[in-house]
Amino acid sequence: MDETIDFLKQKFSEYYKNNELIYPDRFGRREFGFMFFDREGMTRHIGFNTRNEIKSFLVKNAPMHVYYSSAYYEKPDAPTMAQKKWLGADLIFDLDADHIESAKGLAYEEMLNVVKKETLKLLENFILDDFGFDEKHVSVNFSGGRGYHIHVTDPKIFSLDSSARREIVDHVEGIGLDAEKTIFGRSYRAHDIDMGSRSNVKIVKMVDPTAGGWEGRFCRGMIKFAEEMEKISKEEAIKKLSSYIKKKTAKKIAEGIYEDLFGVRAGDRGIDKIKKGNIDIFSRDVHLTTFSDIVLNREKVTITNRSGGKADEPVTSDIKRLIRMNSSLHGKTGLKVMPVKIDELKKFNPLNDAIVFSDELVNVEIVKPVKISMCKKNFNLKKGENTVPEFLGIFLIGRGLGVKK
Amino acid sequence: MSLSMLARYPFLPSAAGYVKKNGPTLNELMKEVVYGRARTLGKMRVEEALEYAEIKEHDFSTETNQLMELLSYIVARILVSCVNDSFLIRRYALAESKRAYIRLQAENVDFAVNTGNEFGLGAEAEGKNVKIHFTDYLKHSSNIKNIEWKLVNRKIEKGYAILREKELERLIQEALRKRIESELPLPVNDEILKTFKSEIVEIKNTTDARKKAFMPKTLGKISIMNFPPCMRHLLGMMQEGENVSHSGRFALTTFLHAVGMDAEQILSLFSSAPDFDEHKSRYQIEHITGKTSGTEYTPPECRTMKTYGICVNENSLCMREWMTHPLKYYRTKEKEGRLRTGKKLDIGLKKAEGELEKNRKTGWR
Repeated sequence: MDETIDFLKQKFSEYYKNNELIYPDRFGRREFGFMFFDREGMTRHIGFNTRNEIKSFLVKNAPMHVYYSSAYYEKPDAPTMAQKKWLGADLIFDLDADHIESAKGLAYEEMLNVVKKETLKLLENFILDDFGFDEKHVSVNFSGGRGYHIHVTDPKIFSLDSSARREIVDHVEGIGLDAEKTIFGRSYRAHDIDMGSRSNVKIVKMVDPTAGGWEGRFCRGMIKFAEEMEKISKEEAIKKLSSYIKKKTAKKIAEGIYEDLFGVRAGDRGIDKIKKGNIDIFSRDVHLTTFSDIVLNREKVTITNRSGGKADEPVTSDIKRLIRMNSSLHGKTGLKVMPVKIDELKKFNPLNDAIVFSDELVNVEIVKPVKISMCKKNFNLKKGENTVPEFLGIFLIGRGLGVKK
Repeated sequence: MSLSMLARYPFLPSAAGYVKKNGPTLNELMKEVVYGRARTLGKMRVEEALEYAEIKEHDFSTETNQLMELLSYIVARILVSCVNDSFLIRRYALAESKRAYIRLQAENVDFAVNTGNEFGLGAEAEGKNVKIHFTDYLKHSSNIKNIEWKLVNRKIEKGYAILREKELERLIQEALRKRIESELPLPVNDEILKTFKSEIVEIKNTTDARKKAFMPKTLGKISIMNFPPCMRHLLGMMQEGENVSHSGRFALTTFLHAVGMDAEQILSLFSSAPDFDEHKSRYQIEHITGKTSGTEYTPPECRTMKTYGICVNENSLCMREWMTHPLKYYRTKEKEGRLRTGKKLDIGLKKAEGELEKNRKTGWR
């Protein structure tokens, strides 16, 4: 094991020595934190005054993980938050395979693709559209591990407190969306508007698919989903719809929704009405709520880790969280944490593009067979000792799949 | 701006500028007979804040009245600073800002926009509506409890939140409240303390009486010791008169109801909040407890509490894997207590838990 650790430390140190690093802006005001290969826990509350100091530290200590605070402080190296004196913080979104239900149990490469899709959704629909941030204030970084980080450095967000940032999280995740009022309309008591025998009357309003925020997004999401249903056979559509519904009566509800969307009632079909902004097409309330639920889930982005029945405080609303430094190495993959240009994100493949180590051959002993494509080559490794390129060797060791031989 | 406008909006920089240029010195304001009315009105402002959580509408008919009204704002701030009680400061800030909100509604949209911009809101009129950058919106809206103020329910276009004029005015109220809270207490010297000695004592007494009146009598058989840390924290904040978010109030109300308190008891617990409004609180509590809505809402589960950021001070019981709900915590604690004392299960709680399952909302709000 010692040999493995020495090997990794030596390789990491060489990397830090021989490469240009990207230093966070205002690094003198940030707290740094590190984890090491040969020590437990995190070393925090470290401050640096010059780029050289950071570089020398990395070369000398070859840490496993390198972090800095999204916040900046008057005294970044003070031991307590009160003494540090918070001045402001960047806005960070952390998209990790851990947080995304549909990424569970996938192979590393597929998992990264699922996360990338979510990242693009967050970026295009929320960060650039709803929030209107300028691309020059937005950077997308591959985390070196299982996801992407989006950093927003628009000065307008620096001073937002944690509750304001939580509102941003809730917006992105569609939490607290009052669809009845915001999107569909309002219900009135019968005695308010004298509607005779029915006790509750729902007034459904026409919505504008081009409207900003959730109103338009919701309407567009409904249209998009309905159109997808329209393209496939009725049978498939009902199967797909039912797959979203976690109820005993799933099939019946799915059939009802399908009928509401595509059955002809007084001229227009439901889907045609939705396209005109009229979403009053559902014959039963449960159809409306179920369909809404599905659309909401398709349109929102999950950034809170809710696995295990607990919801972690998301990075976004935590104003003193540490995040990975760009151009540092992720100790569990040997991949580089790196910025990805927004228009290159779609074709970005970390297993080609974030590799820093050479193809010099090394021997590793691995604990189970591994199939992976890295650096445009396919590897099919059997259990036991293998000779592989250095980048793959480090990746396998980091992932706990092997040791140096 | 006319003197009458300055008197109505004494917090504007131009009002301070006017006083500096044309008004009395601090010493004159404190001592001279001609400003006696300003001093009386200043004390009245503070008393109204304590009594009604709102500054009343005064007489602006003559120029003298207007000047006295404007100066009374300065006196009121000095008096509040002399007493230097955080409950009083919050209550006073609330009262001033509520009055400003009411007055702003009588003005046109341009005035509201300009006033908003004094608070850095960067508002712009757009037809009947107003747009402001969503980050400026969040700075002030995230304290407003009503769900329609959540960003997720707001029209937002390329970074700009779209508001009705009245909503901008509500944001200004919030911004003003925060500004006054942050400005007070002002530094006061012995001279000032001496001059206002009797007023200070009087206000202090009223403040203490007010605080005492708001203190809950007793929780009866319900033991706060059995509450989970989140609920104890929320209750504490409520009684200290700190600002509790909408989700926090909802969680606490539903919880207190589930453990067997009725609307009246909950109301008295909540009454120490600086912005306590009996009518509104009663409406909300009666709605949540099912008296008016027909639905008895149940407290959110632990994970929801976390999402709302109101899960705090987790202890070892909270950390247990099966601990998923604040009521579970309460029940567990009660059981422990019963094992010690041998008492019977509380019927009210059992019923509440049945409701919990029944009412688990199928909606997705």
